[in-house]
Amino acid sequence: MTANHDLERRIAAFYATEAPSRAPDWVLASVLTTVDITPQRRALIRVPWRFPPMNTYAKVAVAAVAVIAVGAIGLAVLRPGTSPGVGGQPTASPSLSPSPSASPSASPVPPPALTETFTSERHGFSISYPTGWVARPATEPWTTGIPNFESTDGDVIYDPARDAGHLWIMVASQPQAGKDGVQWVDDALTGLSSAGICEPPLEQVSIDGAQGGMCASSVSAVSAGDRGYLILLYVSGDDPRDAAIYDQEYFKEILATVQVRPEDAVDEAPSASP
Amino acid sequence: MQTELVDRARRGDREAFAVLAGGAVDRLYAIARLILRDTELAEDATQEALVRAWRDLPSLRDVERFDAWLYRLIVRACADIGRHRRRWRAEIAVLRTEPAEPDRTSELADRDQVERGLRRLGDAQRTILTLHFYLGLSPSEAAEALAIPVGTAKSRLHYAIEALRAAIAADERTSSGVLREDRTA
Repeated sequence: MTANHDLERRIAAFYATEAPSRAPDWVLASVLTTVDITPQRRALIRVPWRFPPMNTYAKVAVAAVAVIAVGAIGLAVLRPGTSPGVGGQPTASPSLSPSPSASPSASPVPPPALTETFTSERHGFSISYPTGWVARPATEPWTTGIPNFESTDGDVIYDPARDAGHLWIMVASQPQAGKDGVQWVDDALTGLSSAGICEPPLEQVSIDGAQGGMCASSVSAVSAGDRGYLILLYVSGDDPRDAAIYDQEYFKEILATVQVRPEDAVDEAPSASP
Repeated sequence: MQTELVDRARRGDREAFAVLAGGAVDRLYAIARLILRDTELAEDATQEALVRAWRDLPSLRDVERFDAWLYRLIVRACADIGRHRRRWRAEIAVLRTEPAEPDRTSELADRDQVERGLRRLGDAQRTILTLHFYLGLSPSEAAEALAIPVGTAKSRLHYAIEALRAAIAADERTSSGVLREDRTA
């Protein structure tokens, strides 16, 4: 905790001493020149900054309605022989060649299929993940804190096409150390909430028979036998499209592939080489 | 005063907008520099954000939220520019930053280390750190500027700090390795 505060103090000190940057004068001059020749957009309807959260099915439904609406308007406008002109007189304009209809590509990009399987030698579970992602097994037991992308105590599966640490799954497990399953899960979720990682509302979850809880921010803690498991899907948000693709529904798909094998977990640190 | 200017600018008053832009340009530029760590790109992002502000001002519902709305525009401009930059980021990744000079004060060396650590982070992580530590926005205010849920903002802040911690540790390892090599040379 002290280390956390120390780093936050260093970050705050860095920003406090960062010299106030003065923009070159030409930046403002250029903006005002552009503004002089740029009309404002008319706001017929003031839309909110963001729409209420929708689940995947709702998004698909909205997209489908939009595609149908575009298609219907396109048909009404383009269909030959249905000119809205009075008397239905044929027009002299050249006939329209078949034009592409509303493209089905307007629908949301589907999340990648979970085609690969990773089996953890250390934490005792298996999980499916998308093609092309890379699994980086943990090299030491998870004993404290919350494993992250850089740490070596959690199994990390990540998309190598992205910048490091921007899109990844992490799973780690540890003995419950005398706690019962409910207490371990409760403590884990409390710790995650304190760290700002667990966004309410919480919901109960069952993963391969292991009971626990799941936060809205795609983090889950469950108990199996005498082990506690932490599973999370991290999306940095660098690419705004990710929020719609790697959402909680996708996280649930991932969770549905997890098989817990607490009896296979290994808690000893690797022995030092001679 | 500002709300009156915003209201006038929203209705197409270019002079009012010029006053608003003049008052905001340095702040937006500072934010862009902290996020992008590049002077020229920060200039581009600042221009982009202010032109967008003029163009889209009629859609601003609440004139009281002008500053928060501007933050959102500069963050978005930085994200757009950052996406283009990622194509060639691999080239600059191999350019090793110089380790702190040994004769500098520890305070300055500490600052350099944080600076180098920040350069190793992605734009999204630098953005949340800038909003929180530079502008002093709370997680809920940062969430509003980023148009993301509060929980996501908290989570992103947590992982950004963790990533910076890891980047600083990696920097220390690199620096000590360089020093060892220097001694053995």
